[in-house]
Amino acid sequence: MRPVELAKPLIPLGFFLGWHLLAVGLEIPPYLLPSPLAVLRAFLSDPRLFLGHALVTFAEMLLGLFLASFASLLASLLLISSSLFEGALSGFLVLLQSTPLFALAPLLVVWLGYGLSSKVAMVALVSFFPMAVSLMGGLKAHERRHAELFELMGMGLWGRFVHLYLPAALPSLFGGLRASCAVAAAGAVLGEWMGSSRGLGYLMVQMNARLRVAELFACIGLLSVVSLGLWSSISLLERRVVFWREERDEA
Amino acid sequence: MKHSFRSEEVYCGMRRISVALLLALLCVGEVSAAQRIRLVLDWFPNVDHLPLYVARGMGLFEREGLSVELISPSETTDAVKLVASGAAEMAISYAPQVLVAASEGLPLKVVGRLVGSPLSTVLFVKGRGIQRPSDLEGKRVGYTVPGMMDVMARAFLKAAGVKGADLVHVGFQIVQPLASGAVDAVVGGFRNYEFVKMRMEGLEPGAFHLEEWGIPHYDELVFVANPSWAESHRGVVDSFRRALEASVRELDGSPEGALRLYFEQLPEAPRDLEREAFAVTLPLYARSQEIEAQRWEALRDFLLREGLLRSKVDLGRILWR
Amino acid sequence: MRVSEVSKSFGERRVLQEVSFELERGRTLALLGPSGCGKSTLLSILAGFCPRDGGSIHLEGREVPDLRAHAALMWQEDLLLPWKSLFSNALLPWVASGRPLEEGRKRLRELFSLLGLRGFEGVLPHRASGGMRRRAALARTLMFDRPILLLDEPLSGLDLPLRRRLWELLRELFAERELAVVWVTHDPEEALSVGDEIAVMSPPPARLALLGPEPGGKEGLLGLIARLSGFVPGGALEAC
Repeated sequence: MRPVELAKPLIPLGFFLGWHLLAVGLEIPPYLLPSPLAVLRAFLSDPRLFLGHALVTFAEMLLGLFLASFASLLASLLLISSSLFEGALSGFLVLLQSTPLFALAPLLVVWLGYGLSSKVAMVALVSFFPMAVSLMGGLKAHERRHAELFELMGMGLWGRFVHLYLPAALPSLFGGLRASCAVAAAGAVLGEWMGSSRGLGYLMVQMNARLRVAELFACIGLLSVVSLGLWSSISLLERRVVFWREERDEA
Repeated sequence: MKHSFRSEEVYCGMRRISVALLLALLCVGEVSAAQRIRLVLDWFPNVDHLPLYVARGMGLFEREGLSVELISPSETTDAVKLVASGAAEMAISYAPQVLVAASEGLPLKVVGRLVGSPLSTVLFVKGRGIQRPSDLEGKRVGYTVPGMMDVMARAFLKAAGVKGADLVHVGFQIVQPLASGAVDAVVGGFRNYEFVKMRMEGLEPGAFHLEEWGIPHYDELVFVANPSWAESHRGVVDSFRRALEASVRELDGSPEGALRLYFEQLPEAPRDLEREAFAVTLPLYARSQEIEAQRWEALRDFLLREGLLRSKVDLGRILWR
Repeated sequence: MRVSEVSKSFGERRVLQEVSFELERGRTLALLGPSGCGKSTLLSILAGFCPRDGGSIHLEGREVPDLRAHAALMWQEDLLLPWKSLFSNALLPWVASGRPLEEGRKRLRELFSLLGLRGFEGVLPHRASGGMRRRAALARTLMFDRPILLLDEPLSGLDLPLRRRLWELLRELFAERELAVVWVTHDPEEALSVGDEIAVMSPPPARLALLGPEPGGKEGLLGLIARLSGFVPGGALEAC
């Protein structure tokens, strides 16, 4: 095994070790910084509870990302079919990006209720921008000559989309998806903070109110795991879908 | 006797005297400088905190040699955490929260009282079919703080004999979901704040008081302090308690004047709302700083029963003596 | 078709200088000249992808802005879509035309056979050799099924024996289908083999000189080269 391969698992190991030393060595009170062992113990005291809520948040993220993908694909289709749309859409995107989503969250709860939909909407909104930007960059990535070729063939808009623009944009779409993973987690949690009965965000609020800091950290840790899991799944999917890429991409 | 002073001796002597004087001055200086207290509030400043503002405005803290800095938290558990870690000397907290924190190992000392009665209620809109708690059967009940208010809600519903009600976490939006009908009642709204707010929004508010339905009578707002600081500054803590008692006396003597003082220090406060809220809160401020161990016992046992406390908290350690 | 006095400048640089030629159905015009002297630009103009600064184009007597709908262009880059197999790539123009796919597939299979690609239909471009990609691109160009072909160095990158085979093959194919072909090349032997007429382009500002069909094999070739060297200062095979 190459030394680089060996080093890889050492980094997270080092992180946990450092954390443990910090918490225990500096005698930091557990309600400020619990040691990693304490966090693990907290998780193991009721894994079903944590995993149940994690599943809910995961579902919210997945659905939200789906929605964002469709929305950004639609947006990109509109964009390439008319330069008129391009101006209007980029303006709208800038507006969306500059709106603090924290302000939108309570509104979403008002409009969509306390159920899953307000969280899914939140995730979709948060993820839409990075995905749309990535996708639009990717759409322009196709060779100019390819566009000429298609024009020469007399291929209609739909044909161009299916055979050229969409496949050319897929790598960027996946890039955007991967970039959105972390943001999606934040969006889901934010939505849950505004009113929910399930999910890691909800559990976090509860644990915080009960001053169970080790449990709180367990939630945060689990959230990272969920994000990572999603990220890896997307990478795996990408490898199947974007089958023509020869690059080696490690998660 | 012949006095022969050599110049060096004189010089040395003078040095010693001046050093002693300097030290004496410093000590005096320390004593006469105001004792600083960083006090973290439980929420943004509101009429619940009025006695503090009266004390500050009338120089009652100054008179006791105290300089009190009022700090607004980013969220409700900040206060206990900051005090426990020593980043602040004192804070305002809720009796249930204090007990929960203590059971989780946070070092706290209850040193005073601000509001001597529960403020949390079960709020609902009158005229929508709810008149008794039992009317909540099969309805949607929202709660503000998961881990705290949902427990209270369940205890309340149990005492009211309600078997099936839908509990929903509504965050801190209390009036909105009630108005829109998204929930039929909210557990956690304050009888002096959200109750009044609802009236101002044109809704007729109804409230069930928690302490009438199975939850022990408790102090909604209390003062907590960092235990080691409190022990080494007993005089300061007593001064604070005195200042607060004096402030509430002044309040009683002239409520209008007190309110004016409050608004002067907080120009951004919503006048109409706070004025009305003040009227409701006035009788609820703690008139005496005496901490009743019995009350705390009852609350502790209740929270232990409901599973909110993971261990039996030793009240002797956390209540000021 | 007739191309008259076509000129093109890129800013200050005059690339094409009043280029003119005529071509009939079933005839191949070999366009010879060093790399980079505007041959590709000329084809682009003919296909309608590049605006010209002067001159006109006539098709069957009528003036047209360009030959777009009637011509199939083959670029120097193969432009194969990396996510489609060689076969699917070549089938695209047929798909675009909306004609029945079964027939298209049949025709393409024959073409692939002809071009020596049988068995490689499902190969993805990044796994195919340069030569295979070129031939797939050529197949694609033929699948346009248009009367005019504009080929920009279509056989570059292929080895000589293969090229020689293809020259014959394609000449037959072009004759069969009565195609008018403009074949750009920098190889005089190729020009001689495929061209019914040969034209030579000079470095920019490029002028076109039409040479008739050259009789006689090697002597003819040498003579041609001599003529080229005389016409083109510095030699025809020098890059611009």
